Amino acid sequence: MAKKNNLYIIIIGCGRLGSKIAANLSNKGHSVVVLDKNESSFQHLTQEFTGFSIVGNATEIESLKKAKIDKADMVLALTNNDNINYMVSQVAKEVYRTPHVIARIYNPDNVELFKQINVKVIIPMLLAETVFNQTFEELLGENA
Amino acid sequence: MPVFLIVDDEIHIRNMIKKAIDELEYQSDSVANGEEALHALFEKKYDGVFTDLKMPGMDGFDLLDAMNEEVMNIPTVVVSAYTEAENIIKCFRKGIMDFITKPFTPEEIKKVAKDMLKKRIDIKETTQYVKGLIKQNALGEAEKYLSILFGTYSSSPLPHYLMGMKCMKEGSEVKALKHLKASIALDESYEPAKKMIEEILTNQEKTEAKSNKEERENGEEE
Repeated sequence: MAKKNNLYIIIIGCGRLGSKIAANLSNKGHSVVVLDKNESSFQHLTQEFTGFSIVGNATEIESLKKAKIDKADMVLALTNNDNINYMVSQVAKEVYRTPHVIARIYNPDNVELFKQINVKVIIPMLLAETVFNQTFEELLGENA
Repeated sequence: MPVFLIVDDEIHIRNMIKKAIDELEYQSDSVANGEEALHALFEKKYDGVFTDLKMPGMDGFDLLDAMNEEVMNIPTVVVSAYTEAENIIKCFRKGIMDFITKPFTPEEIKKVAKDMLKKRIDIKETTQYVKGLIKQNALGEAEKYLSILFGTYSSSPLPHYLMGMKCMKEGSEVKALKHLKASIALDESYEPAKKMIEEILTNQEKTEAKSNKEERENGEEE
C-alpha cells in the first residue's frame, strides 16, 4: 500500500479489543469508525479515541453503508463471532474491494476459509498458545 | 495560500477536518459554534467554510442564514450526522455548495476543499456585472456569466432571477415568469423575484384592461 498517513479504517465490534485498537489507530492520526450493534459497547472507548461511533448491525448492508465501507482503506472485523467476522470480511473484500481486511478468528478450524478470500487473520488461541509455550520454555531454562 | 474556516463543537472533528486540509498544505482556523464563526468571518477573508449543523448557541442553520444576510458569498460545506433529507434540502436552499455526512473520509474533505477553490467566484460582483450587461442589451455576454452562476450556485434563487431579467429584456414574459417561479421554488422568501412577478402580472392586467376598454369603445362606435 502506498504510504498514506491518514487512512479511513472501519472497526466492526467495540469490545475490549476493538475499542483499544480504535483508540490506538485514531491516536496515530487515522480516521476511525467503530460499528457495534450495542450502544453500551461504546463505553469501552476511552477519551483517547477521536473517531466516529455508529450503532448498527454489521450483518446488515445498510449499517456498513452508513459507515461508508465503500470508501474504507481498511476493515477490521473484531466481533466475538467468527461467522459475523467472515461475513463482513467477505462483503468488504468481494463487494467493496476494500484493500485491506483483517479478521479475528476464535476457531482455528476457520482459518482456511478466511484465507480463501484473502483476509489476514489473527487467532487469539494460537497467539496465546505460542506465548504460553515461550513462557514455559523460559521457565524451564531458568530452572535448569 | 487558501484558508478555510472549520466550525464544529467537537474538537476531534475539527482536528480531523484540519488534518485533511493540512495534507493539502492549505491553512485553516477552527471555531466551536456559529457566533465564533461569524466573528472570524468578519475578521478575515476565508476561501471556504466547513460547518456542522447541531451546535450549542448559534447552530449551523442560523450561521448559514447570517452568512446570507451579510451577503458573504463564501463557498460553504455542511459536515453533519444530521442526515434527514429535509435538513439536507433546507441547507441547499440556504445556498451551501455541498453536504458531507459523518462519518467522513479524509478524501471527501480534500476533494470538496479543492472544489471550493475552483468554484470561488465573487457572486456579488458577478451579479452586478450581469445586471449591467442585461441593461446594455449585451444578452449573449450575460448568458455566459449566467451559465457560470447556474453551475456554481445551482441551489440559489439568484441565477433564475437574473435569467428572468434577461428574458424580460428579450420580451418574453412567459419565459421570465417560468424562471422567476423557479427562483421562488428554491427560496420562497426571495423578495426580488416576488416583486418582479408582481410587476409583470400588474402590467399584464393593465394591458388586458386597456385592450378590453378599446374593444368596448370600438364596439360602441360600430
